[in-house]
Amino acid sequence: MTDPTEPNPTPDTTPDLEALEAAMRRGLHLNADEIEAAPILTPAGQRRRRWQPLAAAAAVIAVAVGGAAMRWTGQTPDRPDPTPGAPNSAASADEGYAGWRLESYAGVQLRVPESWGWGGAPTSTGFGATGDEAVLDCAGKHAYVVPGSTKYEFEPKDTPFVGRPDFMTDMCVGSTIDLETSVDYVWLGSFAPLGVRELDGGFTAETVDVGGQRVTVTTRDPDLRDQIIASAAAVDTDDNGCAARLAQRVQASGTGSKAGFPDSLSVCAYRFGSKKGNGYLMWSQRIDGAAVAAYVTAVDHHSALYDPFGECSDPSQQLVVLRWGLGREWATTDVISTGSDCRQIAFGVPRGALLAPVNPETMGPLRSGWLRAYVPAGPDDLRLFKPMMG
Amino acid sequence: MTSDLGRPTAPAFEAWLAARQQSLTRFAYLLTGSQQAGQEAMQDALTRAYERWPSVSTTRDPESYVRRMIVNAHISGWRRTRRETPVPDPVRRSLTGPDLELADAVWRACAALPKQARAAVVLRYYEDLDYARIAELLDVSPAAARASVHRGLLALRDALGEINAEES
Repeated sequence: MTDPTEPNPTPDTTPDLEALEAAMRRGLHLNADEIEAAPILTPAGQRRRRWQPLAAAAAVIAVAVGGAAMRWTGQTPDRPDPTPGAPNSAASADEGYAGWRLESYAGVQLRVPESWGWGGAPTSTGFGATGDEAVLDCAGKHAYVVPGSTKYEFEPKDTPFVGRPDFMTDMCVGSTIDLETSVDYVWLGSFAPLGVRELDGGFTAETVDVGGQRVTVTTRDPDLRDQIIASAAAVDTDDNGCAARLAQRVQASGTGSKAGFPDSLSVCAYRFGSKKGNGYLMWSQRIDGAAVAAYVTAVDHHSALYDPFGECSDPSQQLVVLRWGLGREWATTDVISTGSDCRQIAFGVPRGALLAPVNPETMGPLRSGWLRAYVPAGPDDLRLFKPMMG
Repeated sequence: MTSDLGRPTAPAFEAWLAARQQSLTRFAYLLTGSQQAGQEAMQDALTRAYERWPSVSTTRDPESYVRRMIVNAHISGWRRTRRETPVPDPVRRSLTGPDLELADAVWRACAALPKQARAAVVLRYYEDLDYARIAELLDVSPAAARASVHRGLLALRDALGEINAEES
């Protein structure tokens, strides 16, 4: 409405922005309504580049839901055996471990304070869990990735960390296990000898056997050490719903007919050793329903614009699988290849899979320290993955 | 009808296309500026959608999905060739009077735009997408998408100005 106290403006026939927008909208619809659909040639006969069906993934990401953990409480040299049938330590951990997170590796799970970072542990030339060759330390005693940060390696050196046998850098030291440290750490898949050892600076390292896997906990705080070790358990399926081992590589698929998203799902990252087809769990995580919805939305969107790689044929040492569902009503398996030569998501839907790119948008909802810490990057995605070495 | 993960159960491709072909044809026509180019982009997208139909049909919104394919086919085509083709006259069947004038003005405004800007205008005012989504589809920044749309509006203002000048 015109302000009556203002002088009468000069008449202006130029349309304002809103009028222009309305005109554009209406004009487009008027033009569109003039068009009748023409016959469409049968798509089946058209020329098309074809993509290959998803083959063995170079490296895959997996999410799994459900599955009760079968636990075996760790037996240590100076700790009693668990009472058969008694509630296991990992189950009771939920009560006494507020602010802690689950860490899982090759059939062993335990809990550490949420603020701890991720790093490496001495590994063998057979890449850890499947090898028994000479031990190499290609990690040192510091976190390479910390929660909430996208940096790699240049983190505060005093951040406690969970280490897995892996090559975190190309600077390796061979032959002996060196436990000495200036920060607290846990080694999963440890090659250290069983038992307790006093270290410089008031640190104590304790190595226990948990279902055939060794875990080393090193800290100045005996209560913290006890708490971490008490949370350790051997599992076939961890509390994030991830199977400790994969007998064979999986393919994306989907079944069922129920609407909606699960409240949460688990991301399970597997690594394959020298024996083809046998993968062990490198890392797992549970993400919430909002993240699931964001992931599905991003994959849906990007798959429409995606030129597939074709066949990801190179068997990789890394595999991640996303498996989610609600009981018997429906289930979906997504497989994400992260090999440097072929990175893409196979997004499970009934009767097949959509292919989508691995990029910050599709990985964002799943993204966490493990991707940065343990999945090697290709040349174009250094922001998402572990930087290339060498 | 929806299925797990909010994805619809799969209708047959032919039945789905029969129901949506008119809508897709109009979208492709506006996007490309010609019946032929629209048909080519649509053919390319539908061929691809057909091959992937068991998967595409179970997305939450197959039509939006295919429209994005059409955008992609159109953009890929012009990026491959980098060749501008003359824009043919618009199809006119039933419009008269002010509606015809407005439709012509909008057509001239869009024809004066680079393909990417034209796509941005169509996505904004025919598809009602926000700038972030347009930017994603066209692989440009949201600011660039907004600038393209603004450029389209300026072109329309000029076209409407010509009409006013002729009438006065």
